[in-house]
Amino acid sequence: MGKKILSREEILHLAGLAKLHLSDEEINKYQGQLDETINYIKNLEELDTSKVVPTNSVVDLKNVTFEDGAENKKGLTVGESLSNTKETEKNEFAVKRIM
Amino acid sequence: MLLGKTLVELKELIDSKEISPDELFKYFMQRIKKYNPKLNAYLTLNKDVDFKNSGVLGGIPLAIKDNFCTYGLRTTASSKVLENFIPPYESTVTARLKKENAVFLGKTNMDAWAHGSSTETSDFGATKNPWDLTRVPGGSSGGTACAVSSYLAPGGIGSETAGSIRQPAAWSGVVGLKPTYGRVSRYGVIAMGSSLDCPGPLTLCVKDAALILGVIAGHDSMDATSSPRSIENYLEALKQKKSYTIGLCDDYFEGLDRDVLNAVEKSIEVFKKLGFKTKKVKLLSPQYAISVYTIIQRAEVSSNLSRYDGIRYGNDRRSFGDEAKRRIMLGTYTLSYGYYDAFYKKAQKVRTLIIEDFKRVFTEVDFVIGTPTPITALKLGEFEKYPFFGELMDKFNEPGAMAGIPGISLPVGLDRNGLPIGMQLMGSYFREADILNAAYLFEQETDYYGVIKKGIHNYE
Repeated sequence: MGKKILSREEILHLAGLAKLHLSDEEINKYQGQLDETINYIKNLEELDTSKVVPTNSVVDLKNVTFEDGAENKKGLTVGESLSNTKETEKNEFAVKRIM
Repeated sequence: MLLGKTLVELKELIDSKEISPDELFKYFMQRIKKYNPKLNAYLTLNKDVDFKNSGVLGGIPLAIKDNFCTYGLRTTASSKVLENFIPPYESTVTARLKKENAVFLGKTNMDAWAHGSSTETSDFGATKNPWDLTRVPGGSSGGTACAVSSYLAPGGIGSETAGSIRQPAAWSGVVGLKPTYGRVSRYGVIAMGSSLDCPGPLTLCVKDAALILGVIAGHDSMDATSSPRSIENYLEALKQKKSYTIGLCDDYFEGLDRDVLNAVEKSIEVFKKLGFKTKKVKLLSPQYAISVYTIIQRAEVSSNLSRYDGIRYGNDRRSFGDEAKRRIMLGTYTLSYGYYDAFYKKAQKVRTLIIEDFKRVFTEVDFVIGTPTPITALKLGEFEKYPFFGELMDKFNEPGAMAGIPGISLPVGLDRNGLPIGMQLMGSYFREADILNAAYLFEQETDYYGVIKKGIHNYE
């Protein structure tokens, strides 16, 4: 077994960034599996892209905006917005104390 | 006798009053009650249905993949995170189907968050392949593919990020169309890879695919990435008898099971008989598209799944399954400080190369032919042995998905184990009408060698 690309600490750091709680078993498993994947995707180094412009989107659209004053059809009412939450207080989302 | 009737045929029966929409709905509900317990194609059945005969799809029952938000009807993306989520809004795709008075039988199973190619990563149990209950139907739109193949729905909606319509269509033996990215609105589809996601139909025939595409395609102000280009009359396009040039690329025939290879080669002969020309072409190896896809899709997953905080809706992040966590972890890695240029930006650059590659080839030929999947349906549990294996299984779909081009999967026979084999045609941007036209000519010539009919008659 060669040295792992990602250390246990790095796995824990990534899990922290992504707000995931991993068990010891998961940490070991993902460490191995991410190594396997990272080793595979390194094949892109074989391609010269020094003069290539990156693609963000395949659709040929630029600066898609709403017209001023257009109706916002995506809006939800307070009742709709709260319809799937577990905890509400005074018609607002209730969260645990942060400070 | 309703068994096996296509959407177009059922519509005629409704229009001539030989059957009413509620009778038709009950017919499918009875079949679902009988067969769904062993197939697990549906997660949630619809009870609140309004029957109307008018509209392009008036009274036509459809199966909807569970990542399309349906107003008032539970939508889970097959994840425990959303096990009780009742959408307060409707996706554009389902809204357009409802506007034409289609009725929804229910929501179909999928890989959780559409992460997978087997429908096994569903938090609500795997869907079974109707051809062999010990095998997977493919995925991630495996529930819809299974429902259509076993006639628990006469047609349905799936979505693709890279292969999630075409691959289950191939493994379950039905027709699956992945449109051009931006042709069909993503609004209200639970986001997975936002620069890739693409809704499309799974059906029993090409006419049905054309019918549904005509309803769901077109610009949507709710999705800023949807194309303003006007849509074609896809059904009308089937009436023309055109001749096309098909591109043959060696890389797309590499590593195929011998039965799959033989079936695809036989399909090429059918197209030649229909007057099509063939031409050898060269494309970038799919090996690179696998990497580009893995990097960009995981990055978009880690971003899209960051919204699940358990506060506004759904359960908290402890409810994520194994595959979602693995993908979030890799996406977080490739987007994180110090690795962004090496992975994400590099992948975006190679994505440009893939796009240019297809654009060049499509000046020489109309389509590139191949298969959506190098082998036929795997046994339940086989995917789990190889975490990265699913990506290798989708290697023929990932180049087209990264480029955003359309493709169709058609059944072209059975392998030595009696499992369906798929063939696919990929075309250039917004050439859906031509893809459907070529597929329709193939259908008329072969009737898919009886595969679709046989699949349905396994569930009399």
